[in-house]
Amino acid sequence: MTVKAQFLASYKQLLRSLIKSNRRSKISQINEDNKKQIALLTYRKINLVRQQASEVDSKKRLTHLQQTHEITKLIENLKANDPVKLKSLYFYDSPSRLRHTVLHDFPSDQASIDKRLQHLRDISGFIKNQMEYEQLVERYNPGLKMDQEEKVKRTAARVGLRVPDC
Amino acid sequence: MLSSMLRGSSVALRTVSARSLARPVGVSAMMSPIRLYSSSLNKDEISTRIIDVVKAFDKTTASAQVTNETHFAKDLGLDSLDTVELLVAIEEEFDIEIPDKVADEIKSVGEAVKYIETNPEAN
Repeated sequence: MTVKAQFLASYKQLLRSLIKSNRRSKISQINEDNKKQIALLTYRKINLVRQQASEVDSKKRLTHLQQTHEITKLIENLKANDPVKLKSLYFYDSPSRLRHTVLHDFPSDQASIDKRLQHLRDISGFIKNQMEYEQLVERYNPGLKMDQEEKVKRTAARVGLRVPDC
Repeated sequence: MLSSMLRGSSVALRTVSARSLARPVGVSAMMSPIRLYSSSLNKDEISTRIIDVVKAFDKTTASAQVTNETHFAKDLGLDSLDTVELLVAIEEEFDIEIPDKVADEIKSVGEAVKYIETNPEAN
């Protein structure tokens, strides 16, 4: 195998693990962001509806109504936005920087080339295993990522109680 | 006794066959189980998904016209590292890992479609 083929193989391995772990964290991040945005917009919508109810002027009422419609549309858009479908997450953010780091004063003699390639493979192995480790920790400790509300609900369910809906 | 046993078994066989005649569908399905894959990808679907991925790649020069015949290096102007990035993205899209030897042969959208069509794990 030539040096080029070897290098491409290690680069691919590195890229694969980087993208896998990046994608996972980004999807959860985007989901969180969406949730926050939806909460904010819902709050604004409720305020608008209240204002509209107390408004006497019919013109102002109309503008309020329009704004409410816009916000509803935004919320629906956010809800329909599924980051799992995003194709851009299949690519690494800054491949040029990664490339620069990897190719930066690339050695010329065989021994150091082998060392460099081994290093790349080690990095990709580390990233991959770290991701798997995190997944396992999460799976075995379901309480880690649970929010307070869910925790309270489950704790209550454990002793045969149910949290009221609102 | 042996003959009576034989007769009995033949009777049993006959009832079974009569039943199988009465309900041929169920029996034949039990006899030759059909292998059901969780997903069935057809060629058009694969190619549209791959083209979407290629379009999402910000390094593609002529992103407007990506077809099955599009060659990665010639038409899109990708170098070998870019091609690796694109192939990894395609791998992620279909949740597979393309072995290095096969990946070296994939140089156009059509070839990628062909490979994924033959891969039973792709979904």
